[in-house]
Amino acid sequence: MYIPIIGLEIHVQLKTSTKMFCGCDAHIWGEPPNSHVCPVCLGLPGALPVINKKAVSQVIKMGLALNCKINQKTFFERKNYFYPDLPKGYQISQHRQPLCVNGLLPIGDKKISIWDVHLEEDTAKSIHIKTEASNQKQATKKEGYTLIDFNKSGVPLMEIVSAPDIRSAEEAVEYCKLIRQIVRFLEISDADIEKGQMRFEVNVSLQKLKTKNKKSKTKEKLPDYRVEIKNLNSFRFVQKAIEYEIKRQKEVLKKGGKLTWETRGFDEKREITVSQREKEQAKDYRYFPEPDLPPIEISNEEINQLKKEIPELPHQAYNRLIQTMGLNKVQAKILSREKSVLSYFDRLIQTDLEPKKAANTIINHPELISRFSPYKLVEYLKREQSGQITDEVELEKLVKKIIAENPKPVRDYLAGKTEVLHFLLGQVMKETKGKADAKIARTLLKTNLVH
Amino acid sequence: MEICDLTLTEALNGLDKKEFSSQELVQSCLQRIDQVEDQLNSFITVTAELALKQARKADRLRSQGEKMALLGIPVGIKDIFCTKGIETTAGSNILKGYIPPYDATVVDRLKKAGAVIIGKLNLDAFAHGSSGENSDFGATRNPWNLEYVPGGSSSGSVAAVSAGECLFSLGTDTGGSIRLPASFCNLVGLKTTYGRVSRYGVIAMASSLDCPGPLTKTVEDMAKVLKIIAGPDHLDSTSLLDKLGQIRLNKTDLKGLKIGVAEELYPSQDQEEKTDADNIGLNEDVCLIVDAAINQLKKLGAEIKRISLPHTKFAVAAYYVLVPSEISSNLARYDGIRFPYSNRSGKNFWDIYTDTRGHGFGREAKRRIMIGTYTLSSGYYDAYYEKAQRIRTLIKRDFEKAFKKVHLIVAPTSPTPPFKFGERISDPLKMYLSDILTVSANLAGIPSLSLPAGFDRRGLPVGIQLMGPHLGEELLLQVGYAYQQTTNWHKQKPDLAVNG
Repeated sequence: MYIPIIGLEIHVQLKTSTKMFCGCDAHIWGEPPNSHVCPVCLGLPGALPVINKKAVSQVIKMGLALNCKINQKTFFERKNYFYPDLPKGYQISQHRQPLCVNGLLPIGDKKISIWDVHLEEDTAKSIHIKTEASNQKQATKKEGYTLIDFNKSGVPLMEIVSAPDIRSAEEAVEYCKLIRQIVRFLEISDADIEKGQMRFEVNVSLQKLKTKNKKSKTKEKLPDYRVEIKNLNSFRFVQKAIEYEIKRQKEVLKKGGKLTWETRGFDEKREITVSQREKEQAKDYRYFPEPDLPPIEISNEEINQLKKEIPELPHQAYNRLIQTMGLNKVQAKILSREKSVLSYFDRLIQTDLEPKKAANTIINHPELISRFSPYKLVEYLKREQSGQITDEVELEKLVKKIIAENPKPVRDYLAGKTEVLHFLLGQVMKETKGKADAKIARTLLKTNLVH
Repeated sequence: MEICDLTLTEALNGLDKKEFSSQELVQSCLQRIDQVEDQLNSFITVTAELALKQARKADRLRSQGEKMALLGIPVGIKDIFCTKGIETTAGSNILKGYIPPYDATVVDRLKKAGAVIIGKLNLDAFAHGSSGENSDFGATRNPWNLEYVPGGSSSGSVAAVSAGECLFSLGTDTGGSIRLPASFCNLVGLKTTYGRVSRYGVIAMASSLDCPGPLTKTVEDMAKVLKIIAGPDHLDSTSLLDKLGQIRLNKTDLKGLKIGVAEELYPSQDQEEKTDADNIGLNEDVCLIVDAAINQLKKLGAEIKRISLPHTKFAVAAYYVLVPSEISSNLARYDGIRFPYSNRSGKNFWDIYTDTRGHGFGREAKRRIMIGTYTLSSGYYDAYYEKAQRIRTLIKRDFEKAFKKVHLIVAPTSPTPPFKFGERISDPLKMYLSDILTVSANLAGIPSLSLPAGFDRRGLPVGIQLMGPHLGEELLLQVGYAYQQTTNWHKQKPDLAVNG
């Protein structure tokens, strides 16, 4: 019997007007390559970074939302490694003293520990161009070249590192989704996965479970290896990668094999993980304090101010909806998913609408939400309750149906026999058992009765 | 004597009185460059046409009544400052052909003050060196004697000013790279308080220590240039917010001033017993000259006190851990991906990295990258980098304590007068020890001014340095000014300049 031990590292691009360490416009999605660059984010000799304070505040907010301790004396460090998308040859990041540490996020009845939330800069984007092999012999070799788009270089990036507290692929996805909801509620990122604004790395290992002691299942100490799967860019891939990895590791262990520290990539087409690097080749990032930036000090006042700016979070709203509004879990889940929906609900119940009725209306009639403000929706519902159908969209559907079902009277009307309108109106009333607003129905008939 | 041999102050007066034009001044410098550059090799790039164009513009502005502080004055820039549109190499092959799209803040400030850029000056590649011999563009020679090094790393910056190829220059001082060459070429060199002058656009050697600063013929000139380049810069997060006030150069005596002489930097010469400071290897002539300078300061009314800076004996050791650590990271960007120098004969980008860096960097850069990579590696970080940082803090405290007792500290700039080519280049440790008296000020972040103080028996220049407290530039310049009012060392010129 094995238990999966899963930890997650989530990267989220922050929503700031400028990049992390320079004045370049950070709205890069869909922009022409290398159009949002300057000496700083291109890593040109002599250029120096300047901290984007907004990004620092945003990460502190996230830390507070995840119940972290805020390191009030902190600093940036250089993470040194070579790669063409890393123009300076180091990434400005945090290591020894992250902005936020030791947090906790409840998921259902469970609590996931958050090791740290820190701030860094994004890398550039490599675009690999494949070309035709110049001759038959070389056709088997990889051919092509790589272009680099530096627009993404220096975009503020928040990394949220969880403890290995997650026990299944489903739980991992649930955690990822909640993190996305939280950053959206905090309005610190759009976390649009399609646009690469949210990316995942998972580490998975299996722990053998001892069952000798009947009273309680005692666990052995954490496994002495860890497999890291990098560059996952959808919830589905997170799920698939973990599922595959659990299966793969189980098979190795069952055969008596030994698992080692390893970095694996995810093959999106085959939905399997592929080995990239073993521990012997593990990187030493040679972290040291970034000498180009002075240390950061965060005051109590600043933290208190940021605390005030934190709205009710999705998991908190979920609990409130169940506990004080009397909604069921499904209703609560749907309503707490998006900030706009939740605030619509909250405004709706500020009228005299009963919470359950409000919840059902929102859940069952999403089309009404987009059409009415909460106040207008209540008016509409009242009219509907009184029996009269005043909704133009609904009535128009019906009018069209009556017109379609009565070709002869329609022809007569169009030929000039305007009194036929009474007959058609009668059909509408009959269909609605007399509840249609006659005035609206008549107008709708007229506008729809055209050649 | 040509107009290129004037001091900056004299030249400004001449321009104001219409004794000559900026064009003539620049022509004079260009002519001197023509005459001596074959022997000196001060410049990597001479921007003659651009300089003449800027000079014509300066003359026009001056005739319109424009009063910019350095209008029409030709300046040479150490080739480690980025200059928009002008090749900037840092003295290394790996940056050959690189043309920056922007000006360093300091260059921008000089331009806005009307200075005329006459060219980019030679240096030890990436400022790694104390002799100028590490340049990939050939060593610069000392105008006082061509067989001797001009000192480094700002080798071109001192040779050019000393020989009249420009009226003043910019250098950088990470461990003595302004002061040591200033003392070797009879110039005034200022290492400013860390953060006093913006590093933006200065190609980094060791970011936590690099200090850009001027090299001039007199203290008066120094004050004029410092006024322009110093001050906060929002592009450099480590630049200090303190503004430089008016520098009043009016002291003629030093009554009430206490000047310290540190046992560790300049041991008393009458001591019989050996001390820790004996490994400095002080040259006899240097001692005579420094003694004379101290006497001169006394004569001016200063009180000389012996003090101790106990941790400075660890300065070179700490310096050569911290500096390579930062260098190993700062030089990572030269990878053959974005700069003209790129070796693409290999199979993949790892080959581009190793081939480009393997061929593009010189021996000293590679040596420092290796040391720095080692000292930052996991398992060694605490033993080296962390420990060196602690020593740095202790040295800083030594100076803080000392400045409670004295206003300034005086010491030789270099333990020896200029040395010959080849004398130290094959022995890195020997070369590193050239900086033994200068690195402490860098580690402490304090300002230090090197002044001409005499000549050794071979006629080679020797300098003294005045170290002051954090942001103490004004006091240093005032004392330096008083010293220069009663000495003539700074007025001496090399024969090369005199004979043309």
